[in-house]
Order: sequence, then structure tokens, then C-alpha cells
Amino acid sequence: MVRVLMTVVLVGLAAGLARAAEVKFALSGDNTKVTFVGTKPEGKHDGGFKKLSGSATVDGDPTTLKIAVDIDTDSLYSDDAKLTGHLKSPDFFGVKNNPTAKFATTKVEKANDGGYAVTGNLTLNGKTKEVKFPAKIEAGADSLTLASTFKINRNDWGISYGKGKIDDDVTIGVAIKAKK
Amino acid sequence: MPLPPWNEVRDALLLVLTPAAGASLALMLLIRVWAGPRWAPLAAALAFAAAVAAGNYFPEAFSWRLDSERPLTAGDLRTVLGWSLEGKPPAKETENPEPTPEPEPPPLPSPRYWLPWLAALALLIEGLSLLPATPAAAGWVARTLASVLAGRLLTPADMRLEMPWAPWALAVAVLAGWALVSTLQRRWEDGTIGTALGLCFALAAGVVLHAHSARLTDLALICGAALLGPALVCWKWPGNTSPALAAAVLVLPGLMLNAQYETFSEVPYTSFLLAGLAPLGLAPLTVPVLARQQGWRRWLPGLGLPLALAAAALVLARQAESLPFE
Repeated sequence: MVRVLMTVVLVGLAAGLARAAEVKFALSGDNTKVTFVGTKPEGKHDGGFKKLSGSATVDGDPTTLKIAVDIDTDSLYSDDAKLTGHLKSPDFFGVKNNPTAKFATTKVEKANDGGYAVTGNLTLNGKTKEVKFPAKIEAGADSLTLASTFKINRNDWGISYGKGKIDDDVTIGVAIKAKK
Repeated sequence: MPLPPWNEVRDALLLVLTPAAGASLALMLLIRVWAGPRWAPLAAALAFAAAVAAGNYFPEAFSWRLDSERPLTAGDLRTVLGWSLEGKPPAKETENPEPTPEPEPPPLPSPRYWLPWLAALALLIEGLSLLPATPAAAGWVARTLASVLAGRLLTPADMRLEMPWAPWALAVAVLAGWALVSTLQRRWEDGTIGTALGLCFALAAGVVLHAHSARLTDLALICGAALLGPALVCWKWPGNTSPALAAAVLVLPGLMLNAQYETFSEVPYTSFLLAGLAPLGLAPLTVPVLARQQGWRRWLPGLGLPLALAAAALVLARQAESLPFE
């Protein structure tokens, strides 16, 4: 009986240790997609950023997830070549003076709908603001997936060109499929 | 060249050109006509400054604040001036794992941040240089120092690293333009140079429009409209408007340098260069036989030479790139 109890305790301890081990995933443009959709009365334009670098660490429980990424704003692309140039200009992202956008999580909480609420600091156009967005997260021993779609108001980051002609809300999409 | 959509033209007229041109004309008329020719330099300086402020109110093309949510402090200005002159210092590594909390530093501004401040400096220096008590040599020393400062501040940091001569080249361009307009306007006192520079800014706006930046296009239009008052009023009531002209010849090359650096288009480098250096087209007019000309013999080259350079710039831009709405 004592041996059984000892075995159970040892197995439990081992499981606890295994769960507490953090796993780090390297993030890049290959396993992480950051996209945006801008809209105006006449239609919409899709785009995103091709290059980014960073890391995500998690110990199996998504609420322990920590993400830090640097996004190369010059890797911006869109569905129109002239628009891409315009988005890179001082009218929007001003990539020559703001070559890097950043995001770092500060908190991940379980949400009521079964997903998670991610809070973090987004630095864009030289300004840092807190954002909170819903996300579906699955964290395993050797894989991490995250999917989210949310909106930001571009004026909060000083991207104010075209007020009244271009919608202020921009839809951001984030998709991570990282493997160890 | 096709015009932009009507709503874009309407917005530019209502929100940018009318406030700037209106403020420029109103102040120039009020002060020059009421106070007399002695006050023309002050009238021109105030007209230019008021026009830029009025024209910038809606589009905020000039980023004169470090951060719209952060009050402008003298300490912040000193900090960013140090960064802009020397380059922002790298983050310090410390052995202390718990760094002492420091006030959040202001954001690093783009070189364009310094345009309105340097324009104000040019207004001041040129205005003071015109005072009878100011020795001529002191005026030229001040103009030279301001030009060197402008060259340094308006050249982007990584351009300074790749081309260490770039700030000096910009400084020479600014000083040469400044010397030209100051010398010629003192002699002529009519609206030739103001009109020429105003039209140069309008054509430069066309170049930048082809480079796909509405913000920088607005910036060029604001400066062009700001010269309307000094230019038009002096055709009827002559006066020395060189403070406004000095601010203009400082802004134009700095604006075009940064427009070339910050925009992404097929507009060739030469286009930005010609537009930025268009005021130097006035150089032949310093030859005494040309400088003494009157009437159309002065107006034709005075307007035509700078505009020829600016027009060439626009033609090159047009050939290389189409407009966003085409």
C-alpha cells in the first residue's frame, strides 16, 4: 500500500515537473502570419507583413503564453503595388522612420467562450498602445497554434491619413503554427 | 496630367490651400499696406508663419509635435536635438538587473520634424540681418550656421552614415539659395522671386504626388500657398520679403531630400534633386547685366529659370510613375 502510494506520488511529481517545463518556439514569417484588411466605402484592401522575428514561450497552459515579436515594416505587402508604396510612405506606416513594429504579450486569460483573451503592447508608427484581443490557442509539448482576428483603430497609433475617406478600424489577423 | 478625383481637389482647396493662402494674403496686405515698405520684411515673415500654421491645421502635414499626446517640453526638444545631431545613442547595458525607472523618453522624430523649426529660424535670422544695426558679416555668419544646422538635422541618419557628404551638400544648397534670394530680393523688391518660389513648390507638390505621399504633397502646397501673400502684394506694393523667401529656400531642398528618402515609387532621384534645387536657377540673374534689367526682361528669366528646373522634375516624375488614381 505504501509502495503504491509512493508510486502515485512520484508519478504525480514527475507529471508536475514535466508540465512546468517551458517550451520556447522561434517565430518567423514562415510560421507566423500577420495580415490586415483596410476598408473604405468603395471597397477593401488586403495586406500583411512577410518578415518578422521573435519567440513564444509556454508551458502547456495557454495562460502562461508569452509572445514577443519584431515585425519588419518594410516587408509590408498589399493587393496593389501602388498601394504598397503608399502604405510604406509617411501617410501610413512611414517605414523608413519606423522600420520595426513590435508586439509583446503582458497577459493571457481564459475567456468565457472557451478561447482566450490576449493582452499586450503593440508598437506601431513609433507609438505603443495596449491591445486586447480574443484568440484560439492550443499549446502542446512540441507545437503551438494561435489564431485571432480583431480590430484596431489606426488613429490610436497616429496613422490618421484619409480620415473620412478610409475607415478608421483596421482588421488584423494573426495566425501562428509553430513547431519545436 | 490628369487631375485627382474631385473630392481630393475640393479637400485640398478647402482644407489646405484656402487657409494658407488666405492667411498669407491677409497678413501681408494688412501690415505692408498699412505700415509701409519698411515693415515688408516683418509682414512677409508673419504672413509665411501664419499661413503655414493655418494650412497645417487640418492635414497636420508638418509634424511639429513629438507626440500628439505628449506636451512639448524644452527638455524633450533638447533630447531629440541631441539625437538628431549625433544619432540616438545605443541602449546602455547595466549590471544592475533592476534598472532604475526613468521617465519615458520622447519618440525619435523624423528629420521632417525639424522643417517648421528651421523655417522659423530662417525667418528670424533673415529678419534680424535686415536691421540697420546688424553688421552684414554677422548676418552671413548666422545664415551659414543655420544652413549647416539644417543640413545636419534634415539629412536622415542612415543617409548620413552612407553618404557623409550629404549634410554638407544640403547645407551648401540651402545657403546658395538663401544667398540668391536675399541678394536679389533686396535689389528688386517685387514679386518675381516670391512667385517663382511659390510655383516651384506647386510643381514640387506634383513630383511628390507621383511618389505617392499625400502628406508630403500637402506640405509642399502649404509652403507654396504661404508665399502667395508676399509674392502678390509686392507686385503692387514693392518691399523686401526675403525672410519668407529664406524660409522657403531652406524648406524646399530639405523636403525633397526627405520625400525621396521616405517614399517608395519609380520617381527617379533626379526628379527630387531638380525640384529641390530649382531656386538655384536664379543664379544667372546675379550677373550685373541681367540683375539690372527691368520689366519683362527681369520677370521672364526670374520666373522661367527656376520653373524650368521644377518643370523638368515634374516631367521626369510623370514619365516614371503614374498617379495613384490613374
